[in-house]
Amino acid sequence: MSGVTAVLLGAGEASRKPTPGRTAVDLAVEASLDAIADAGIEIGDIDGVVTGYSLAEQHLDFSADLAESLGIRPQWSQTNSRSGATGASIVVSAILAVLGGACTTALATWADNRASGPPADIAGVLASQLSGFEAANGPLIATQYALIARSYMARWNAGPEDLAGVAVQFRRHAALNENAKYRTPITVEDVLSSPMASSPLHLLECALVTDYGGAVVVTRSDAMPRTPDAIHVLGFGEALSHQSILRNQELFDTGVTAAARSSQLAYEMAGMTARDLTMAQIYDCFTITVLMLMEDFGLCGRGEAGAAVRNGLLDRDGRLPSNTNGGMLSCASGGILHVTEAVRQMRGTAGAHQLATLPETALVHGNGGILGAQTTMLFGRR
Amino acid sequence: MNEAAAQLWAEWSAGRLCLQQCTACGRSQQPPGPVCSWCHSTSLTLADIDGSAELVSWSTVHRAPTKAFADQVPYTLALVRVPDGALLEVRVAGDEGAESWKAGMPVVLALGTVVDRALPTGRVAG
Repeated sequence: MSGVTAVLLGAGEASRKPTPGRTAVDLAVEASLDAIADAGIEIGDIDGVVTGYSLAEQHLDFSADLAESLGIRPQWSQTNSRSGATGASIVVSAILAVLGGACTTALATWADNRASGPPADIAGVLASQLSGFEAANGPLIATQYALIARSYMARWNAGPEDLAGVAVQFRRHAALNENAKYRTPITVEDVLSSPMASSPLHLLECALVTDYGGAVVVTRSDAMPRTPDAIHVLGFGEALSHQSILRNQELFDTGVTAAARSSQLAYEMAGMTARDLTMAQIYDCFTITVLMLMEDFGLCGRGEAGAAVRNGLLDRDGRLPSNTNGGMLSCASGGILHVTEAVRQMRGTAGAHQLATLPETALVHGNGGILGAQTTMLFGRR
Repeated sequence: MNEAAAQLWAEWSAGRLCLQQCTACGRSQQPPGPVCSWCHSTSLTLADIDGSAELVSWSTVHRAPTKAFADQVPYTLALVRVPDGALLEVRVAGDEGAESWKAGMPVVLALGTVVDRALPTGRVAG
């Protein structure tokens, strides 16, 4: 992109400590106020609001609840529902809104009280979102990913240890993050001896269920206050292939997902390739998700992701530090935290788990449904 | 639920093993819908299938998604492809050797009951 671009002024997160009675809107407000303070602007400067949805609560328009709670009357607002990709997708919506002239400074927030709020059984709520023809057989969401995982493993002769390595890597990062839910280091053996959820995926290969809230402030580069540490949006891309895995045979035939397309679109817009990346924040709902997305992004060759992880590619001391907060596998639920973590690392505000060198560029990716909805964003420090 | 889905459930409940098939390109699809996902034709019908299929992938579920399945775990679900193209997810009986199955093995489909619904179930014929 040339000329006017979109920039991220700040990022905020809500406390994830489960608290009875705390609502999704409470979490959204906490994260939003944190982001607004981090951006160095006033609440009244916000003229656009985009939010995700809540699984735990029903809202006719979540963005209206948040805007009213913040005491603002934005000229542009929207509530997005794109399953797990929502966290990245609301940021793309905010980028489009500020560049398209719908508003100047947009707040993008996603929060849910999945641990504190009703219902108790989020796994069942999620599974009920599958088509009736799938759900009638009794799959978990993990089962649908497990079916894809088994095909991947057979195609590339990958072993259970290749998948488990992802969980081990991100736990290593969580150990340094005082706000991660699980911080005790684990081994491949620990992962493979944890109870099976849906074979071949073990419990330690599945994302956590926690409360979460994350927010970023997006504005235009020509409206930006003088903030040298604002993060520039270099490119983005989205793609959607299916709702039901029964409708996308490529998941089983080639293993290529719509993330190959979304990342290609983002690279083309930014004039970048995978080799230009210095950090990645990758939606990690299951271990298999990360391996397949890495290959779709071109971070390694097809079938090579397990070895790349084992060789430290994603390690905070490796060539492409990834999921530096511990990710959804060890830190918290919520794809929005991949975005806030990227912004914090690039601005040097990540705290105890801050990388030694500020990443110059980052790939941030959200995945929704069963590898169906994909959103890739590329950020730069200049 | 769309109209095509309601019709398919009704046929299965009445004991007819069938799937939605496109009369333009001849391919089948799941879930059924108003448009063919292969060729975008809206000429779709329900056609009998002979129960033959091939194994694509499978997973043994160890934790029930809802209370309705709590007394059934563990059970194995398979993803199978029928000759006309559709992928189906089905409960498979006789899964003792599941960890040594291979993609491409033949699966025989027949109507069965899972919890309280009539739907195609499979048996791996390896």
